[in-house]
Amino acid sequence: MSESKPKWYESVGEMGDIVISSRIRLARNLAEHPFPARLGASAARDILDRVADFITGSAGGAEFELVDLSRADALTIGSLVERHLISPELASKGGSRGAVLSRDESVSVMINEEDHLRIQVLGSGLCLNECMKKADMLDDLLEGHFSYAWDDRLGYLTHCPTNLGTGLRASVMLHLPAHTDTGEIRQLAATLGKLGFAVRGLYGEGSAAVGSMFQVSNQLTLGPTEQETLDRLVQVVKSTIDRERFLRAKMEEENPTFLPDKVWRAYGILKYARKISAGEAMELLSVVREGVSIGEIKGVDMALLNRLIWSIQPNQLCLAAGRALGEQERDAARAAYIRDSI
Amino acid sequence: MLCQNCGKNSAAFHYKTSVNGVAAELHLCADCASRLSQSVPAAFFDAGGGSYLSSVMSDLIGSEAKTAAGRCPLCGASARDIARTGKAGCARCYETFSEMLLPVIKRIHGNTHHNGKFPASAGAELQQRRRVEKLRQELARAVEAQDYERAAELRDRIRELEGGASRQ
Repeated sequence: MSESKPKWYESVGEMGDIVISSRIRLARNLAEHPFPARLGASAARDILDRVADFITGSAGGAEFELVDLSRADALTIGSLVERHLISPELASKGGSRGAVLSRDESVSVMINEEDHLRIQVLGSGLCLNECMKKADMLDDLLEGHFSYAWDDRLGYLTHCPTNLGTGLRASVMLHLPAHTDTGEIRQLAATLGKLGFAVRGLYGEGSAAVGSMFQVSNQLTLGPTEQETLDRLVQVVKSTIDRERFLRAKMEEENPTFLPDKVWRAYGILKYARKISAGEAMELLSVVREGVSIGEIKGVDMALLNRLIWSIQPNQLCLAAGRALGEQERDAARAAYIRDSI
Repeated sequence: MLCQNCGKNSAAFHYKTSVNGVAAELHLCADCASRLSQSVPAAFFDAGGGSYLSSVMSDLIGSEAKTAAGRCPLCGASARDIARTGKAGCARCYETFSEMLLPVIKRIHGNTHHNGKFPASAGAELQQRRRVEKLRQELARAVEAQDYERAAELRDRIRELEGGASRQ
């Protein structure tokens, strides 16, 4: 993959102080083929090749590249999971499977995950509509060439009944330290749950929240239109952002030294530590991010912090070093990398 | 998505596990999650405890599966296969096992009708039906507002569209 092209996460988008990223995912299947779980080996290979060839051979195809996961090494696969370009499920399952990735890493079409196609578009900040537009175009392009599994009543047919209809999962990754500090995050999850949205940790379903980062996504796919889904999600995200800002202001008012002390301590550790685990680094970067966001820490770029979220992960560090590193080596490399960056 | 325990509130907590290659998911509302949190998530995440709730989804389907017989002609999945995984084997399964799956879909989504994007190939007929549906809603509103002139106009347009469809 070209390393020179700027990646989507090296920028700061709308509401970038609180919204880290937006993501659109469309689940699609090809008609007349069993879903990947019941698909034969040669048919799976055929679908992988046909879809990859079609996208890379299309008008904008030079922007795309296939990563064939049945042939990729473990480090590459691990790093793609860390950068959210492929799901842990796609990484760990066997057989012919892959992802067609755009060079700026904003678009990923997973092939033979639980559905034949998972079109995914990522963007910085709150940009669901822009991501949807991109996903929609790619969807139209694919639909013009492949015949989709479709039902007039149930919409796009998917392996799991929870994705039927639009096949759309729209998510926004939010940085909510004040919700975490005040314990309001539980209420938020409960409230959003009642409204049909799920709150998850950084690495998706079942993952713990790391560094106060949470993904909010729609749950229902059958009934509401794509635009209705996006509009409602934007609405709850905006009110969550307002609440986060309110909580931060309230904390500052009630205890003016709490946040400055907390953020500078975190900065101090990151600036001087000689070894640090991914977990601790994520927690501290989250706190520094909060410090930048409230204007307490100046001179640290938010885009840099966005990049660090991804680049301090274990497989990324190994790739950067050009070899597999042991845990101790990784922690030292991570600390050095962060020290040099901030 | 509704809570898979009470089936009333929307699910807010999500658990996922994979035991011997069988993926299982559990979606609970805040009330049920906190009530069950002593036993469920631990058992759910424990590799050996996967049998405790080998996906409520498959239980949901399982309760419907007892009556469904036969295999899907396209992928060969049986009702039991779908109940075990909680997932369809292929697009045709939704047709083959519709009696078993539709009530489950209704419970998950609270709906069984897609209103969003559709492929151009599914176009003409579906577009027509959507247009008629929209006019019907407008008609209902016009009647409610006692705007009978508008209602008559809408009724004629619906007839026209439906007549057009039957002649094709």
